[in-house]
Amino acid sequence: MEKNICKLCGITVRMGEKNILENFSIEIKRGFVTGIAGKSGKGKTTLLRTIAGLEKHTEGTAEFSYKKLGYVFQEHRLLPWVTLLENTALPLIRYMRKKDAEKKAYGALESVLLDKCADMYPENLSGGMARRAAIARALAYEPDLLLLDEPFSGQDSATKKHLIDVLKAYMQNTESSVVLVSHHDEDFEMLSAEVVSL
Amino acid sequence: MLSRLTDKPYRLIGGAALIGLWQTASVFMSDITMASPVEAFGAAWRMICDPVFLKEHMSISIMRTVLALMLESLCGFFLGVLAGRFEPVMDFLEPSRRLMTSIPAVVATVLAMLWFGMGSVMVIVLSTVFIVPTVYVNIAESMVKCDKTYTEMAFVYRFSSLMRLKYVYLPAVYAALTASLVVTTGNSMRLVILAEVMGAGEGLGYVLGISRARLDMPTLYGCVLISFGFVWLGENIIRRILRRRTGWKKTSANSAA
Repeated sequence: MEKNICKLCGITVRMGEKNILENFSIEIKRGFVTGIAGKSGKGKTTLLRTIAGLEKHTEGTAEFSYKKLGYVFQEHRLLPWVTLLENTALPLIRYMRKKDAEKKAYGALESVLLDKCADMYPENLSGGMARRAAIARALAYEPDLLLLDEPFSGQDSATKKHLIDVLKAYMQNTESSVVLVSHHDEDFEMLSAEVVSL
Repeated sequence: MLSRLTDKPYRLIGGAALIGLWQTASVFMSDITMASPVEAFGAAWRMICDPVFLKEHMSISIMRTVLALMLESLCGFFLGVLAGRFEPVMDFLEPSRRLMTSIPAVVATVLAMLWFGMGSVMVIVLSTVFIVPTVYVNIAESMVKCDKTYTEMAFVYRFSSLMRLKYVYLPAVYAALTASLVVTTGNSMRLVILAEVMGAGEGLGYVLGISRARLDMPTLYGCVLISFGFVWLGENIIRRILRRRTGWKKTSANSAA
């Protein structure tokens, strides 16, 4: 098994006339948390999008060895026309029966304290709850690389601590890697992240 | 039904005003150009009660309209989904779309009569050719404008093509599909009647053409009323079906309350 789950060497990502990332290199180690810090507009989200394959780099090389990728976007990106349970189960339907997918999704919702809201639609949730549902969707998918773009915004301190414990437990059980983008150093400390600044 | 009408009093008043205007116009205009509402409703009622009219004309027009509506909705929907998903398909179809939307109805009718002769095939093809671009453009544009955040989420979580269609694209094009179906129901009937007037030996349009030739205004206006009634009924059925399909909106609104 390769040591790095993702390796970017001297990549440049251009949007229009502007280079958002320029000659940037990073190695994401398997089984570790990598924190991405930096001011707004420095390209943190662009980096996550590049790793996810949503942005193309114009220069440099990128090597990925992940099998399944989970991504908690800056916005929750839950489908408004299906319930939370369905939203969480949908990515799993390709890999298992619907009943099993829903059972697993319910477990993930339970872990982020949203099991009582499983039958609700996203528009009825607060921003923080929707963010937690997005985390549940990503965890239920069991990715070996999890990208988190400011996942704790809108959470009170107790819920945030709980989510960090859930993430730690997930990493321990699955040996997956996490890339965490945050503006708060304490988030990196709590997850023992190796921090890279942009 | 009555309560729904009284819930919207201005709709009722608008309808009554239209009939009042019609009655007033019929008083001042000649009998050979305009029938009064009473005469028209009477003629329509007589036609509806006539089994020969129902069997030989009305049922045929309804069958043609329903078939045309199904054909144009299916063609427009699938072409629109393909064009919205794959840009080359949209580019490839663009010349045909422009041709179909710019060709005058009379020219198309004459050509259809030459190619398909008189009868149902000509009527259905003609209606389809005129309506498909409307459905196609609505669906294709909605697909293109489909929220990128959801398509990206579907990409990351590796949704299959079928899942993308079912959970991302179809709900996104639902509003466009609803609007298209409501509009095309009326337009299909109008085009079927137009084609029947021009080149068919049976149907509501044929009866309308004969009554125009005989200057039988009550029958002519009665045909218009029957056509109006059919379109009204069709639109309501479609709206009801579609309202049932969007039940999630009601459910979410209730749980919010």
